[in-house]
Amino acid sequence: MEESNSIKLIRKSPWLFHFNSGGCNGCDIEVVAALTPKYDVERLGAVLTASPKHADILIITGPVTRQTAGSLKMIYEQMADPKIAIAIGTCACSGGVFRGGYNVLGGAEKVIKNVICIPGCPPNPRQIFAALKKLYENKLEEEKNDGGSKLTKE
Amino acid sequence: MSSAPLLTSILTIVAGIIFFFLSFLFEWVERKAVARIQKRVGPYFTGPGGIFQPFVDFLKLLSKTEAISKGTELLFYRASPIIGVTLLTYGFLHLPFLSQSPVLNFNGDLLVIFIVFAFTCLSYLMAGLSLRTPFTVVGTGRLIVQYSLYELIFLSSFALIFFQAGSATISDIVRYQMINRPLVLYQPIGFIVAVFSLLAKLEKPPFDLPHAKQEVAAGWMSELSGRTLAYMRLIGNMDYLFSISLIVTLFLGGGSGPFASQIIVLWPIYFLIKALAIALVLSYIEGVAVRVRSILLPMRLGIPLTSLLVVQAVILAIWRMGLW
Repeated sequence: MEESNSIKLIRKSPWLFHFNSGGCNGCDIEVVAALTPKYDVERLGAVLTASPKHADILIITGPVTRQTAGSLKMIYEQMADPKIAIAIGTCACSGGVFRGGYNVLGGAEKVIKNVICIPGCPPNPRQIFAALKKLYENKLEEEKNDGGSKLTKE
Repeated sequence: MSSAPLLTSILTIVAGIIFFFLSFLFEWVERKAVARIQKRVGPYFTGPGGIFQPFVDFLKLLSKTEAISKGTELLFYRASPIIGVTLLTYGFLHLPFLSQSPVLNFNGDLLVIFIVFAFTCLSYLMAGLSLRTPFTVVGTGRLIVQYSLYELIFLSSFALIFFQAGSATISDIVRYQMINRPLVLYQPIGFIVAVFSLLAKLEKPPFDLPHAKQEVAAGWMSELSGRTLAYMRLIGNMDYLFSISLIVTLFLGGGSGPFASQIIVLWPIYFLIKALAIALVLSYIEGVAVRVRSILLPMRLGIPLTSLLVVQAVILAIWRMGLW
């Protein structure tokens, strides 16, 4: 991954856009918990934006269903380059318990090429904060290049 | 005589640069204060206490590519940031921030403020309507209703100042307050109305209907990205700082205070302290308030604020009559 100036700046002010691709709302609540007082990702400069065109990071929760795959692809394409996708929860990483269901495509990687995965059902808000903090400090490097995806654990 | 234009141009550049960077400082103060009220920390890691966060946001948006949709009217899209930034900076030069006399002034320059606000609103409208999607059209429609309602109240409170000070020149109004007392002591109701309608004018909570997130995505800003978004956000910040400075100038006597006439350096410091105090009051309302329902906007808030202004005008008229 070439390190352009813009990527450097994205690390310092990651603006999030949240997309639920068909999950149970468990991970959504944890995302909200990461935004609210105890974990407060605004410390890193993260803001939850209302329009995908403003955002740098797409947060995906839930398994990608056949119904939402088109919307997910469209929203990701609308985001201005450079952009990063983060899958939160086991479902968004691989499909989880819904994998193989008649209406489920699988993880977010079925639609988007490079996804940072935060596994868990649901992941602790601390893990979400830790992933964003690692991104902020540019310490995600050593864990990438395994099949196109990056795995972060606390 | 020949050095006067040179001095003016140097002061213009200095004031412009100060205005540019102060607008980021005020965004930081606002974000930090709102976060504190909500028991969060706010920007923390970028710079000491996160003070560079708004500036880094600005740089990031500048360096990103723009995703311009098909069908965007490029003339409106490109012209709107230029109009907004230029006119707000021009308007700031008419405020006595650096010293008692503003960088630019002429007889009746309070009227410049009206033009600056009108064109700021125009730049919002142009950016909003450059691409007409349901989100932007609804958002811009709400913006027009809210702006026309509350800017009228905001500027009407300045009309009362004109009646009392007897001059529409900003430097005369500041001098009037230095000779007598700051106008907030004569017109407290007008001051409260001005501060409250400022929230609506700046689209801050509880009046963030034009970009109400759960209803109309990002409202009129939905289709902006990259550079244009950076500059439209900058216009928002500049509008915030400019309106606060205006209230400080017209109601709180600018940078006047103890020893300000002897030590020239104190003037901008007092000015900044007063402006920060108003910014904290606004942030407090922002932090605790929830969004008003759109139906309540004209009925429950517009009418009471207007009647409060009428009460203030009547009190003022009686007071002036008694004095004569």
